Amino acid sequence: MIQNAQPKANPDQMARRSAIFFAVLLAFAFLLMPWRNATSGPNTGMGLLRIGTEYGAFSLLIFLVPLAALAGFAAGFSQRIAPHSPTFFQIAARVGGAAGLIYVAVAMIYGLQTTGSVGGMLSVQGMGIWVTLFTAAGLIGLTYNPNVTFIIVWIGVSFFFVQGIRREMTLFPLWSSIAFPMLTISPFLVLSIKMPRAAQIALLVLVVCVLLPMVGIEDTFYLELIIQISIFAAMAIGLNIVIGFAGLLDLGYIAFFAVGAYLWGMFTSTAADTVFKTSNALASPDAFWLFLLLGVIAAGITGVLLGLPVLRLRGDYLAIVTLGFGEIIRILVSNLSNISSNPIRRVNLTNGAQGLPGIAHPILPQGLYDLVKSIAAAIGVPLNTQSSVEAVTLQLFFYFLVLTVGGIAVIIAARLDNSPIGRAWTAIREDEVAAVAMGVPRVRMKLLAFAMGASFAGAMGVIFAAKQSFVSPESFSFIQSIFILVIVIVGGMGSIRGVLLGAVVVTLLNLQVLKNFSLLINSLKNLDWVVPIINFPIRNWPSQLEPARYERLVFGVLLIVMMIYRPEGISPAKRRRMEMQEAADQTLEEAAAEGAPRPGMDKIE
Amino acid sequence: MKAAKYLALVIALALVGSFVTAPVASAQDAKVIKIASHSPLSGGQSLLGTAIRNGVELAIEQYKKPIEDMGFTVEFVPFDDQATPDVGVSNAQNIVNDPAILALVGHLNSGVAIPSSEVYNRADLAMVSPANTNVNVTDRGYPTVNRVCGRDDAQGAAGAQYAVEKLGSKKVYVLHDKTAYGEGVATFFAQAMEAAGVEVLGFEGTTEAANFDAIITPIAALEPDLIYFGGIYNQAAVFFKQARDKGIKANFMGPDGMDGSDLAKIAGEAVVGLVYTSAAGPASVYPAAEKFVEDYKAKFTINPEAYAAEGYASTQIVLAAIEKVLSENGGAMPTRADVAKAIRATTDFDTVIGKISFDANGDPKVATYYILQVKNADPAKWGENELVSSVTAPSPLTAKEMMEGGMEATPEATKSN
Amino acid sequence: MPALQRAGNWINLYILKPIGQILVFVVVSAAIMSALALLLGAVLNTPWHGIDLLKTRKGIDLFNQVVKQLPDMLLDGISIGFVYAVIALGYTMVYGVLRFINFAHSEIFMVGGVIGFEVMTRLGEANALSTMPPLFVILLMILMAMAFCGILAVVIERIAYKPLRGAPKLVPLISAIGVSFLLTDVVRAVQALSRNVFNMPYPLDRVGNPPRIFDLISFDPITQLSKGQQFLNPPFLQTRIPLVGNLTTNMTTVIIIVSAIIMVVGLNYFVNATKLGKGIRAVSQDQTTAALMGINVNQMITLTFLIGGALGGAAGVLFGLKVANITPYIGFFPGLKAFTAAVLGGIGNITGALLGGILLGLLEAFFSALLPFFPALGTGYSDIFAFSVLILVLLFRPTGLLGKKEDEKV
Repeated sequence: MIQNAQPKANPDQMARRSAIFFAVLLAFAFLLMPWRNATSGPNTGMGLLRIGTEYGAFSLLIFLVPLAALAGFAAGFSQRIAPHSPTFFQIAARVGGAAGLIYVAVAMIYGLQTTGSVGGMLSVQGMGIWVTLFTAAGLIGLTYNPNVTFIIVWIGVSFFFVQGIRREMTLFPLWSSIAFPMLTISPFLVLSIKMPRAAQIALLVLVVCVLLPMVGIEDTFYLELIIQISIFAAMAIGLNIVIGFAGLLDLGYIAFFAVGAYLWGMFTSTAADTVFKTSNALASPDAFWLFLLLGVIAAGITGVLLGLPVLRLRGDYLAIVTLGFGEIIRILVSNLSNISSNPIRRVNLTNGAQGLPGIAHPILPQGLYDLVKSIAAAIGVPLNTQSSVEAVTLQLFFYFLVLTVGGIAVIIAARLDNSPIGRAWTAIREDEVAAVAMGVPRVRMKLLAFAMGASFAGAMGVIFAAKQSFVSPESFSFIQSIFILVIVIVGGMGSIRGVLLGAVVVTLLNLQVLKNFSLLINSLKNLDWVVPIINFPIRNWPSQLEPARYERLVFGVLLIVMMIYRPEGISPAKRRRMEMQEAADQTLEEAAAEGAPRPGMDKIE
Repeated sequence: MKAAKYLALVIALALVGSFVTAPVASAQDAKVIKIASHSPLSGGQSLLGTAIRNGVELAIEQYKKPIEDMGFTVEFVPFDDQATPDVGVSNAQNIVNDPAILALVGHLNSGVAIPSSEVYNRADLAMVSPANTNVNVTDRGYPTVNRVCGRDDAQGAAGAQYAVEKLGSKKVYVLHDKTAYGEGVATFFAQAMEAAGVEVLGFEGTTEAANFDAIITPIAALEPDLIYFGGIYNQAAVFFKQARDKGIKANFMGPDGMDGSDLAKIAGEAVVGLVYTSAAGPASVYPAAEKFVEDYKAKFTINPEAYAAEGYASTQIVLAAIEKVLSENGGAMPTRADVAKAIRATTDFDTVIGKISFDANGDPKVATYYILQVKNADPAKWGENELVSSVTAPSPLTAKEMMEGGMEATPEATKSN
Repeated sequence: MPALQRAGNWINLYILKPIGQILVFVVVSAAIMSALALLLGAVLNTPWHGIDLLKTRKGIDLFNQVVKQLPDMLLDGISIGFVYAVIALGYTMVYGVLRFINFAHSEIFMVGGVIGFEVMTRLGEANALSTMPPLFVILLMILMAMAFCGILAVVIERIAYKPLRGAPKLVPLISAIGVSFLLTDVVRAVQALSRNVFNMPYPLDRVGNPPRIFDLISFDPITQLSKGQQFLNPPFLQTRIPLVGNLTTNMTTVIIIVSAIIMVVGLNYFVNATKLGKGIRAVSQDQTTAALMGINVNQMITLTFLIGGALGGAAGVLFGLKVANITPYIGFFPGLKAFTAAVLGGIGNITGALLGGILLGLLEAFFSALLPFFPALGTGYSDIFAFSVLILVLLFRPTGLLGKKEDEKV
């Protein structure tokens, strides 16, 4: 499936593995997924497997569907391995495919019976369509590139999964935190699977520019998530230049984000009086684009300013200085509300801890609002009020803006990585002394790394301030720097794709999955659910242990487990992976050395 | 062969496309009304955030009966904003997309409340704040944003008035915790003190939570007769204790963030005599408060910390408004806009912290500040703090109306014992 | 006679010399800081070239203020500086051996504070707090915290760091961040379940003080405090200890300084004079060679974590005694400061941690206490100045004050 992940696995094994994986996934989805409309009351919706209801009759049939898909996929893969030998899998595929088709027919008839309309027939709770999709995909898999089929099915499954679940469902938090991450990681699957370039681009555009915004219009929470993911991704790309490429550990990266955010905030907020308020011309929302550029420049300059004093420092000394620098910026913005010698009548730049409210966002043309409104209506989500049209349009605007800026960042970073500059950074990272001896201009290269990294954060800061319409020092704490660092490490240091994936995984984990877990427990509590087998009424769970309060704990455990089992990150750079392998070998050697006779041992003990 | 590939692709895309236009069915007969709480449940501020959450849960438990009698289920959903604006905004989006959530009680930090309420307001979702005293929260004039607590400017002034008139302070030192809340209320206190001709010896903000030695040294050298701490009790208590230990003899004063029995538990003797202003009426004025404390203790086995009562009161208002809308529209699922309107229309509603009416901005029309003095170092006797005075302060809008009506708009103090 | 001489040498080498060194550090840093503060006070006493930022508060004679506050600032700075130093030792030892920033050390420090609270509260519940000898109570708290935190650090090392040996430096750092999240929340959960508390105040006033009936209805803090009547017995930890002239300090400060000195001297002895200490030093020099010399590297690393954790735990108790209240989130800032102190002194260097701690404590005390007299700046800027000093020092000495220049492999 993901060829990069297991370079040594043999193709046959791969085929079987992915087939099994897919079967499990589908079985899970079909057995448990609560379908759109399938909920008859607020607290039902435990999926199709509801014995004793009209849906119960279907549950048996439904087992056949994953079987069909399993067979289809396995067949597709096995055909690639041995194209001319009809195998067990191929036979199974045909049987499964046929079963699927029968199922579709039955489902359609049932739909017609219960709803009495063609719409109902097509959407027997959406099932007919789903099954068609799978069967079709399975059949295509027999004849065509199984990789493309796989990814299409993946995207289809996750997209309709996201669409099919409704907030009213008790288990909504669970479904949504499976479905939405599935959809958001699909671009990475597209990238990591071998397929024609055109198909790859088409699928990427489909997911990133069509499906995700569409889901976002329906449920603006998803829109918010993808914006925040993109913001963090762009910042992680910047930090990756500093840490991953040039090997300079920066623990105060959020400072540059603050520079951008406060730059725009100070000039347009309603609260920053005395100095900037008089110059209203500068505070026009039209200046946004100019300020986006200024944010890049200002953050870049700040990066150089930080870089200059720390050029001689190495490793952990650098870490503490950058950490201190981040704190200095944060303390400055929370103190620059009073820069006169009179303690109470203040000269106010940043409004201190109060934060800057009412920050402007760029004014969008009316046509854009209308366009969004009609698109929303076309996909069946009428936006009734003016404020909701505005909100969705703005959010979409910010999403595409962040996407564009982030895309530029990705391109720049990718080009840099393969350029003489990138090689110079690598040289400095691997061996500074040797690099300098070979004529790498150390000072210039290090400053460039800081400036480049910082400038991405600066641009994101400007956008963030405009999007939030409010900034306060709380957004720029040390923990935020750590958060971005975690994205880089978890994703795979030095690898652009890895860092992007890290942003998706970590941000979703923090903002969606862990939150949803708490919500799930809460709604089960409201339902008076009793844990089967151990017979524990969940209502008796002490409120001191409410999961909403321990999201950080789960996050911490995940970090530890991740570092132990996959220290190179989810999608590491090639070089990094090689280093890891080297390190592992070294550890083995050390272990061997330890096992050797130790003459002085008794003395030490 | 190539054509076949593209054909397959097109078929797949067409399949995908056809579902996009598939009719979107809406769920029927979802008779669930959810009320959310949104406050920091993890992190250093989780103590107060949890108090708000608990207050909301208790109120829903006790007052959901009339709504449930109309055929609805009332559910409680707690959210954790981690005291971080990004998380708050993201949660806010999550909240507004759940159609069953009709109102929320929330936010401890104004820094989180302000950006999050932009989201609520666009979705017509009413927010009742138990703790955001920052003036910017309501001054934006949103129809959905309300608060039961007073405003920083009013509270600072109320404290200053008492300090000048009753304590006779001449030299005051003002400290705050560098949060929107602490800095806000301390600024207004200091301004009011200066306006009253009191010498403000210092106005300092610190994020220090544990070791105040270095901050106390200059205070000791300046010898103020009153120290005002704009902040929350678990930080303030440590400061007060260390200040007394260092031999500072000044009076102590603080805003409603002091209202928690842990203040006495941490600082002990040091805070006996401390004066604080609070928008929540003490049990001696509102007998309902006493029952609330008992119920809270029974359910959560701890004393209600600061803002628990405000969270409870906010929920009382929300539930009453929903009930009103339900009875008016004959038991149909209320819309958010209706609920927001009903909440804004709250007039003279009896809550556990006093009677509340909202003005057009969502501020309490007339905020009454109770000025209380700690009488006992025993945390169990926190409820026995003595009410030494009370100050009523009309909200800016009400004051404006009163001015136009030719009435006196200055805060008036009434000595109650 | 030779035995006596040897004993004398031993005392000289392992007790007197380190104590002398500490004294020199304290006296020299205190003297430099005082001189600078006095100089600054004299220069800035009159408005300086009309720069608004440097204007002092109206009616304040800065020089006099500095003189008035000097003893307090020095004592505050030194006492918190010793706490920082003890925490910094934990960072620096682990760094010296593994070249890795143990981010979770600040949480281990916090756990130490919690253990201190537990011991004290349990003694209080058993009515033993007021009757037991106060110093014994404190010793018990420190020892319990040391034992618990030492073991905790070793367990953490086994689970979260050991599998990551040999991985790039950032990997264990992230793991340590995970541990740090985990520990704060576990402590919060345990305290919420067992006592349903968040704040963990030390019942300090009850140490060596019989329980008193709360009879304070007519209590007036101002008049009674000035008459010194509020306590039947002065609480042990508030006992004033006379220093030079009429300058006094309280028992807590003395306990902190004395126990910190004992720990530093003990650690110095252990590292420099025992075989295990030699082993640790060898491992910190070169792991592979140490292994070839027959030293069990794993054992030495475990030992390092044990000692570092124990010191962190002890520091937690000392901090708790000083600030009177512990919360699950208390560790972060002292941890950050201590880490800064370790870097300031030269990370990996035990003496450096001590010097860095004392210096940082003094810097903090001086800045926090003097900045309020500059209304355009204020206490809020004290951390900025502290970090600026750090950056300045590193500019001129890139490996810290006492750090050795790192070898550059060519």
